[in-house]
Amino acid sequence: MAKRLMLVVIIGLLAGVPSVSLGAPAGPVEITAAITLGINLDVARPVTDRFNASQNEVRVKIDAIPWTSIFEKMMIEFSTGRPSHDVLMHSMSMFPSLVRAGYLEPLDAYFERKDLVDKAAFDLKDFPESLMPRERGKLYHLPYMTGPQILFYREDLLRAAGLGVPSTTEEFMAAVKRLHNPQRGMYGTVLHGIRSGAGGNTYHFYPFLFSFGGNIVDAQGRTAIDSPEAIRALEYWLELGRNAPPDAINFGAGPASESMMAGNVALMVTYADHYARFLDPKRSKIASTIRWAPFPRGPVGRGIAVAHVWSVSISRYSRQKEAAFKYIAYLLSKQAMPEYVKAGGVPPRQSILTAPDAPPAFRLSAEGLKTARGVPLDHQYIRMEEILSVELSNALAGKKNAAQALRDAAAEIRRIRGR
Amino acid sequence: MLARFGKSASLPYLFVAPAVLLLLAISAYPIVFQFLLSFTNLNLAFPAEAQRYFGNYPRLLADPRFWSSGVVLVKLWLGGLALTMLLGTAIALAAFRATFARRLMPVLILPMVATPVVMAHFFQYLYSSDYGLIRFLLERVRLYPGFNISTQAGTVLYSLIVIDTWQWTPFVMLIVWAGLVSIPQELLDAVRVDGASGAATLWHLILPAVSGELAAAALFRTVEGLRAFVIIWGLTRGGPGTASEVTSIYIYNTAFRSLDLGYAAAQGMALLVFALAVSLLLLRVVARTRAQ
Repeated sequence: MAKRLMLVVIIGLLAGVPSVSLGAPAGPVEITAAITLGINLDVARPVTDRFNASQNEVRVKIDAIPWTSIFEKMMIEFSTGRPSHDVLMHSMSMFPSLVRAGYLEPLDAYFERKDLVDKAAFDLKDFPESLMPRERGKLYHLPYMTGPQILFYREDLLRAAGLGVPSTTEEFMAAVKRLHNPQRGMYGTVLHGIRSGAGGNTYHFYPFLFSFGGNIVDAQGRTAIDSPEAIRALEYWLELGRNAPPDAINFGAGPASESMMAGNVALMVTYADHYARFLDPKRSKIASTIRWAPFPRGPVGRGIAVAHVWSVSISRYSRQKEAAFKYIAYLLSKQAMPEYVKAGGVPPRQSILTAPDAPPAFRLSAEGLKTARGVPLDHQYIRMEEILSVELSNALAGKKNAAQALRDAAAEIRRIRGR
Repeated sequence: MLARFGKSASLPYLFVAPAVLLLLAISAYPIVFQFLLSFTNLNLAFPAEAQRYFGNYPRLLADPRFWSSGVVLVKLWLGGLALTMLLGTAIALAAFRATFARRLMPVLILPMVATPVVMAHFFQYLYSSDYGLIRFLLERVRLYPGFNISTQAGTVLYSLIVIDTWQWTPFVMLIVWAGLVSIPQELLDAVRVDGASGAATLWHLILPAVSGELAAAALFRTVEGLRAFVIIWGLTRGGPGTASEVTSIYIYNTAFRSLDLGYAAAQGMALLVFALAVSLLLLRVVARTRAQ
């Protein structure tokens, strides 16, 4: 009997049981969050530090990943069934693939748990509807960073030319053409011309597409990228391209904004969250003359930006889902917002975007988000985006006209989607 | 135990066996895995639904974008290979006697060790049609074509060949240099005393003497050239249109945009077979020239 007891004690010791049975304090639960480099990380770091310091139950470790490779990293890890992250960040383009594959945990049940969150104080309704797409009625993510496209312009140039601030796409084109003077090193506008999604040509084209009455898929879910409205929108976008730096076909969002900051561009459409870099006198030659306005109204009578957003979700495979939820609920809580804004983020909360002391770009973001439109919740979306980006690039390079480029894109997208 | 093998001829093999096995496991496992994957319809969004599938290779044969990406790759590889070999050899021949060239060596190898992503951005600025150094210099000699060559479908490959040449010419130069310094000085003196012209010396003595090095450099350049990805991705993402889309970029898009991992694996296998065939051919050339 004594031998048997000794054996149990030894096995217990080896298994580390005493740490529980002897009542030693359990350490905090450790979770890992995959956060993309850049402004998303700049904001997440101080807020996460504050979260870690504010309680002893959860410790969050950030794994910083370039935004260009986070999707493939996640998809490969998920396909093995053993992903290493509890919380992950994703863009609107990535969301449909992740959610349709069943890799994300629905959040609704956690919001009902009073031990995890004060739902009333969190105030889910404070987030714009356009940033909260639900899959089969369930919420799978919390919007983290937003920046719908708005119009940035050089006030000095418009004033010198006797032009007002463009409020329609027609006025925008007229101003672009009037101020385009490449011989003097001034371009009317600049595009994001490079093949790609959020930082590239598709997302730059979408607000024009939407504002001209076009869409990627129609209300019945059928491919609609070759509609007459879409073709007119692309013709307009290509005309903008003829009044932009010729190098813009290789420009992503970064280089496009750099050419604006270098003082070579009169007006441009880009994400609202670029405002901070435009206003930084250390980086921007136009810090004192840059102004902003809502995305111009198109033929449909409204300016419709892309509801561009980076979001956070909980991995379905996480073993610490409750801890992960506590973390993301803190990250996007009203309580965390002062730290968030101080770090330079554009938060997706209406109450912050429309606060009386908010920067003007915040209010424009809030306005833009009211009418902004997302991308289709189709698990093939990222593939559709790639097909369209190639054809937009072909059109911008002059290899195809607008109609041909969009018809070729639509044919290929219909082939893979079957409709 | 070892005593039993002490005089055995197999002892050396026994010692190196663990390293060889490890190397085989590391290099062979991914290839075998990829080969098996190419016979599935694995989609990263639905991995549980993957089944055995034999349609990837027939699909490959009928995929025009795959073949056009192959043509782009071959043009880029051959263009870069020809220029780096020519320039690397010429510079090595011109400089291997000069002592100052040895001092410049650390500077010369800088492009080779530069990070490709940084180089892509570096050249984006150099090529800029507004403030690029290349435009400035070409305008000075009245050779500027009036546009940034990395932005036009017809010229984007030239812009990539220029980067490839800039990066890898020092590598070829170093290898050829190593061959040149191993040619006995007495031999060169004897040829000169016999009255051979510079061209004859080059053609009949120097080039045959370094032919092994040249073949080895071509082999390394081929392996590097067929893997082209990062600089193209950083500079053009395969555009304009698909004008600079090499096979590896198309494979990347198939795997991580279409999430069609089975088909991407088949594309990867095809590229691997091509690279292997070219490399084996070059290895035979290396072996033959060494034997001569």
